[in-house]
Amino acid sequence: MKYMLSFVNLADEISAFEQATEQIRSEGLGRVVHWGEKYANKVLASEPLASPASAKVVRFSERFGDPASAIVIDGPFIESKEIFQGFCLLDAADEAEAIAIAKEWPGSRIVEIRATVPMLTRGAANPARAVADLATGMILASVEVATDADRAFRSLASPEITSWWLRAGVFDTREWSGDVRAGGRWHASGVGRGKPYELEGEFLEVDAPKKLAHTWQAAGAPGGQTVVTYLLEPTTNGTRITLRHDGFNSRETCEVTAIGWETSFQHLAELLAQEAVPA
Amino acid sequence: MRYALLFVSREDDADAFENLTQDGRAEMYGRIGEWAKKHESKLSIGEQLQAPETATTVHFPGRFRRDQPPVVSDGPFIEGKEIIGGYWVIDVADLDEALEMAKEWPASTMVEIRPILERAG
Repeated sequence: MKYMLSFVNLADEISAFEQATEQIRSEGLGRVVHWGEKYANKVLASEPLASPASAKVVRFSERFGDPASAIVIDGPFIESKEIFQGFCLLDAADEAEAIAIAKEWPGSRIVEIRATVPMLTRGAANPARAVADLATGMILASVEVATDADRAFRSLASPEITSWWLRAGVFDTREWSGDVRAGGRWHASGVGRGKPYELEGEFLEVDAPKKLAHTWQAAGAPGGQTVVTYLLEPTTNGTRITLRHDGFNSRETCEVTAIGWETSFQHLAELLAQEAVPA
Repeated sequence: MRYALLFVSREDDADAFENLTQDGRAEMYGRIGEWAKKHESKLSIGEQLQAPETATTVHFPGRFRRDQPPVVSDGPFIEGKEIIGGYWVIDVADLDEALEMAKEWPASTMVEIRPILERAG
């Protein structure tokens, strides 16, 4: 899991530190260097920012960034006594580890820990699509991925699911485990809109690398069982994955789950496309 | 020069993004994809952030020293109507180039552009 740690300091503390004795400053910097060395294998990138006084802001008057509506103004986007001083991108096993590492950060008064999701930047080339048939409670979704069926199949039933069952700002799968054979169980947990959720089910059919089917329901809610079926077919550019998800009783759940499959399939396509790029 | 582009959206814009129609979403991801392709050579790391309500914040009570235990709370460090939704780190010739890239970004209410402090040595 990747987390962004945002380092935030109080304006008066920053000026106090700048005016502190040489000894206090060098001790302070030494602690930051020590933290960086201790977690060198977890910190993927570390980006200290210049002071907010040097910030510019591009503001759009039209929703969703019409370049013609952009104006440039001075200063940070928000004036505050709390100064956003920099951030690092952390690769941690889970949120508990990210928080434990943040608790040792010596360089600012406040650290915000937030999970990140890769930017979706290849959607234009090969969009995933999902449609919900609300009348029958069924979703159909489809995406083409740039890899062979064996590789694609592995991503559908493994902890790799935590890298693609995602929708930025909406839900985030944090853990997945499963016994991938007909009759085996799977379990996933994550965070949706700030609240934890758990999903589980049973594998109905495991025919690698052509077909995978499993039940899908909220953990401990036996009434709401639905069925997910993936079909994989080789194409000239890779593999076409087609998903059918049936059995929704609630139109609303069916509709939002369809959008979730669409964004998830986009993440899956990007994940596998990145891998396919020769190093 | 390296800069961080911080994408900041008002809550209502973020909600509107989530509630786009399928065609609207496809168009938006298409525009983001075109932006990324056009500026590919200048892009370093970039991530979207999960929703602010998923954030955890660690506060340290004491100035400079760490002699009191940190306090962990749920939520972002600042409760506001404007939220950071993601960022790119870019490597460009100068601020003007960074501003041009930011003006073309299709998907947030505003973009803050801040130089990254490069360590000596």
